[in-house]
Amino acid sequence: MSTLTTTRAAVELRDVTRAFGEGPTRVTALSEATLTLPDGELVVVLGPSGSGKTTLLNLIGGIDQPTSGALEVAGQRLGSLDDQDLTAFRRDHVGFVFQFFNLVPTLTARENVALVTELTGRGDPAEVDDILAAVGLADRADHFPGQLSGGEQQRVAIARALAKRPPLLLCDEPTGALDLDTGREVLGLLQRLQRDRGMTVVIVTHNAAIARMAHRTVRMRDGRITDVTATSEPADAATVEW
Amino acid sequence: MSATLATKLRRDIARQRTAFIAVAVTVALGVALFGAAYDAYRNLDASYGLVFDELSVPDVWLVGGDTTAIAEAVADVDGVATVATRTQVDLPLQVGTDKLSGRLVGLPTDPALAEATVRQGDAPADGAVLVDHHLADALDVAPGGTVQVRTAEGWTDLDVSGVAASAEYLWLVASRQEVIALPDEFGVLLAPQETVAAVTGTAPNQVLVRLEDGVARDDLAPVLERIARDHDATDTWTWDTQPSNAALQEDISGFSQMALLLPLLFLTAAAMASYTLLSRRIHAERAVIGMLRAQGVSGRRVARHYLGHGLVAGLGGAVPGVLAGLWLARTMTDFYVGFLDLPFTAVALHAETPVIGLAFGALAGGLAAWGPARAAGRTSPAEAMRGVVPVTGGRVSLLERAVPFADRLPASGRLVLRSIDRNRRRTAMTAGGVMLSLLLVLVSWSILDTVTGNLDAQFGERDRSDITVALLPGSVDALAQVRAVDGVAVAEPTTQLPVTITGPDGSYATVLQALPTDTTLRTFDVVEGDVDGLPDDGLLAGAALRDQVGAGPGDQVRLTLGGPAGEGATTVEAPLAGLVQEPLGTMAYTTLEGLGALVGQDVPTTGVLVGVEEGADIDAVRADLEALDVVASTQTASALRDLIDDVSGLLVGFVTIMLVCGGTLAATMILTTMSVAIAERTREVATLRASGVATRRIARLVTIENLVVALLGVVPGVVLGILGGKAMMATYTTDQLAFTFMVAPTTVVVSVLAILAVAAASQVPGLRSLGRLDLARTVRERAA
Repeated sequence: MSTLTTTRAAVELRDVTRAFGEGPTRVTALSEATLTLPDGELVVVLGPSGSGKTTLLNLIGGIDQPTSGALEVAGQRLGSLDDQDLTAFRRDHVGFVFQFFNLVPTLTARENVALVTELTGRGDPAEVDDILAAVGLADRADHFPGQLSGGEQQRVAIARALAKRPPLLLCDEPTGALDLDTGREVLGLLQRLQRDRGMTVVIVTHNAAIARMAHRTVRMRDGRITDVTATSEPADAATVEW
Repeated sequence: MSATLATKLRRDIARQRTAFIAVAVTVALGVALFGAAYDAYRNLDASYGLVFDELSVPDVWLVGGDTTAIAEAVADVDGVATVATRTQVDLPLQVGTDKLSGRLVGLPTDPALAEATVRQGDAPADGAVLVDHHLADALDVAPGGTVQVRTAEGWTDLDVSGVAASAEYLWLVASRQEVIALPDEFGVLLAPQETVAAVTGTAPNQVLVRLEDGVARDDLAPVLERIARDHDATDTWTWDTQPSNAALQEDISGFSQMALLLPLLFLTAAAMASYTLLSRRIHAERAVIGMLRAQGVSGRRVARHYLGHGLVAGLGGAVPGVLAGLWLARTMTDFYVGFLDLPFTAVALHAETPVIGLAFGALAGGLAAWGPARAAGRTSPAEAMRGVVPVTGGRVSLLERAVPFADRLPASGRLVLRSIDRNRRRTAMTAGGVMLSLLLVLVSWSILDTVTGNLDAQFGERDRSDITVALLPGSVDALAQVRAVDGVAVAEPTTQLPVTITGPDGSYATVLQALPTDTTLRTFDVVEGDVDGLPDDGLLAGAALRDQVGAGPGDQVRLTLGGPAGEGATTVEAPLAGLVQEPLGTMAYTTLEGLGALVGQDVPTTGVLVGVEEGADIDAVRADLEALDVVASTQTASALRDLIDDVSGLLVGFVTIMLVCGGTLAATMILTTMSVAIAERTREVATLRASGVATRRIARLVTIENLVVALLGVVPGVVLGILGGKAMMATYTTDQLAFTFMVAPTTVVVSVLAILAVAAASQVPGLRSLGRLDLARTVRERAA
């Protein structure tokens, strides 16, 4: 382990707070967070339930906005963007992977991936099959989500996120709905993609074991960042146990 | 129900309030229309019943022949309570300078039947008469005034003792052939039988028969008719077929049909919408239901809770619907009673109507909730407690298989097609809602198209005369005098005679009109037979004659020509050359030469058809014609057209209301299914939005999807709407009214576009909710 050293920053937060409600019902989900995430790293955000890690991910991904503080992602100050600009930001810079996959059940794996490419105008529709092959689903492309296992559905979700070639991939509990072996498979895929494509991958999890595969681990508790550690030699996902 | 479940129920409804309100409004409309139509029907039926009793209206009229013998014979028939005879004569009438067709009707006093109620002035005495209130209102005739009738002795003054109403002229109709009569062109005078007989010199020519209470009119009338025919009667009718009452019964029948059909449509749509909403809620609450079941809550209790959703929606709409129905019923009855100026009314609050309305609401809500609630009660705790509900339902859609090249559509195109196929029941219900809406709108609108189209054709194309002149008997050189009037462009002689046509299945009393062979003021729409106008040999008749006497083109029919009293009656045989389509009445037509040949002598002209010069003032020409001594009365086509325009205006109002109702139906279905579809797909939509897809783009896909579903309902809606309109018009087809079904292409196009516009507008709340989605929360939710 070493202390934090940064190269080019993909994500930068300065005293970012996100609060919900007013007066006595006000809840601060994220409090005065300051954080810099360099480009091209696999980052794990670790913390118990209610620690604010998903709020942090949502802010970075531009699906939520800070109450105060400065937030810059991929060179854009998100706090000052309106809804339309935020949509454009997400279209150009961010891919999301969710715990419950969120696939369209009426579309096949290939169509689920193609849909986002088509609707955002980002990525190359001709590459859809290559991306599915990259996540190991070349022979399952014509299957509907209901015909796929949980791990396969999550890999479709990852392929969907990758299809528009985002520089930043944000994963919210991507293994939360999966068993150990399947979860390890998915983590291995994320690690491989990060290495092969040089993208920044942020994984939010409450599973501390996953932190071993990260270049950087951000620990959170009660809405605050309590610790940030980095390593130059993250463990291989295949060796992660929980 | 537990207080907590009641709270949950309240909050569930609050969360889906837009869709819930839409369902409740639809129920309210259904219940209100039921209450209005049913109570109006009952009030009018009771009012007519009261009129029937108060004025001792006959059950059966036997006309012509040996009335004394007929009266004696029918008095001995079991079930006959009272028999009276009277004289009724049609004769020219003059009020001031106005000349019109008149009818003098005797009022039998011993026994009293077919009485009149005096509304102003006194009962007639010493040769005075009562004036029917339509005439009194139209030409300002008041007690103390005089009117003139034309008898064999010439114009005779009659004192007016009062203004009266008669059950036989509640709706002013001269005969079954003249369904619409204008009060300044046809007037009725009522006087004691002795006065009528003395003035006209005519013995009683009608036998009036009142049956004992409880005796079925339809059973005894044929028996009385046979007796009357044996004594040379020329016509018979019952209270049911009496021209005025028959016309009013069409309206009553319309109310009773509305009382059944409209609630059925609305409550079906409300039930479908409610079913869709509740099915979705139960699906979304599987985990909660499972938890309740796991904790030992009985399936029945769970079912009752969800049944409550339907009942609250049903009753929530039914209560305001009942109140609105009470108000509407009162308003409609008051309007109708006022419009007809009924002498006796029986308007009442019917306690059972609100009860039935509430029951309808509860039934619609309850039936809609029954299936989903039962399924909820049967949910196994283990199944419902499985955390992630497995994703199911992926398949290539039927539409893709049906539409060529659909497999080449982009993913977003396929998304639309498969979303339609995703929940076929819901799609069917949305399309069904659109179909019901179109059915309602097209049935109503096609009635308007049919009525206006037929009347326009009749009075715009086939009957081209502007003024019909009735001549006094024995007029000399009348045609030349008419032609000499300024503004008269064309004048054609015509002769009208009462006739009874007898065929294999019965007899029918009507009017035979003879016209010049080369008439330019009259054409015919021959629907059966190998003629395209007036035949050289034989006659044309209204198409309803086939049902009345069982004769068609090529058949020989017997004609009894002459007055109702049978005076100078001539019986001849003639071939029926063709049947013609006419919207009002069923008459017979031949040429003047043909009529002469039939009776073996020249027949005097009884009238003149007049076409006025272009730009001429019809009223001025009419006044000039009425000033001629030879003229008994006149009728203008323009006044009739004005009346038809008024009726059309009422129909336009009716269609507009139905359009609003149809729009409400479509809106309810689209609004509820849309809110459900969006609730079902919030995570998918949120995921797309999180991926940077613009809300507008998603909204466009959803709009296309909804419009395609709406279009699926359009085709059966148009077909059923047209068939329904046709069936509805068929129920109104009698010898008095016979309309060829018509629906204008623009009607179909505008109806479809209007319903699609409503469907598109109904999406707005759902589309707005897409923009308001809490992405951060929604993308983390479990599939449900």
